[in-house]
Amino acid sequence: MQQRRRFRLRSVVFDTIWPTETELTAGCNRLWTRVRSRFAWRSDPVHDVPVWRCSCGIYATSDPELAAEYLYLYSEVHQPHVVYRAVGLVSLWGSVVEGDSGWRASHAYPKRLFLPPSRRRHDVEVIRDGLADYGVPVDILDDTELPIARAVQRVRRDRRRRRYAPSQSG
Amino acid sequence: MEIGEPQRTYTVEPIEDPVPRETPPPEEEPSEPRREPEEVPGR
Repeated sequence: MQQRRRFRLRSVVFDTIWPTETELTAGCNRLWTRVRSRFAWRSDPVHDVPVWRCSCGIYATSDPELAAEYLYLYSEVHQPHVVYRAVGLVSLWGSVVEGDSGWRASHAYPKRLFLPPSRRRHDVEVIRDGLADYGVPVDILDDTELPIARAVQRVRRDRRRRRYAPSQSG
Repeated sequence: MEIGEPQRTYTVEPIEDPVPRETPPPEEEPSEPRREPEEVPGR
């Protein structure tokens, strides 16, 4: 997303903006946790993040295709400050819950960022340069040898097929 | 994001800081002790 003249990473799902030069620390955004935090005299206000029984934490997946799907999640929803989508590798630490195909953690910082290629090459280059504040490598995904580049290509191809596939009626 | 059923929980302490922080520049010591402004008689 664009904040004034700066480019910042924002969660696809929440209004969380990834800070530069400091780690992102997870909080619990579940409605019930937020309600309980307003009635601290009734129960523990906030639980540690992440915990086994909750779904909170900063998520990462070991499946590049699942990560690539997030380049298009909610893409039909108007988000005025969102200028482009990025995918990347992330460092996770602190408390970590490991699942079958990924992790959720209490602390995270980007390790490497990738931007899908676009016909508007210059615009993507401007965004790439703007993300340099994170101090990690930012690449435009031209190299098809990378697993994430192949995953983005597959996801794009599948989306195109679904869009142009004839609708079936029974 | 679907990461499947939780399998285990642990704590990770990174060996190196994963955040490329810009180290703040050391504060420069003033070369001369700060002097109080001299009083100048008004005219």
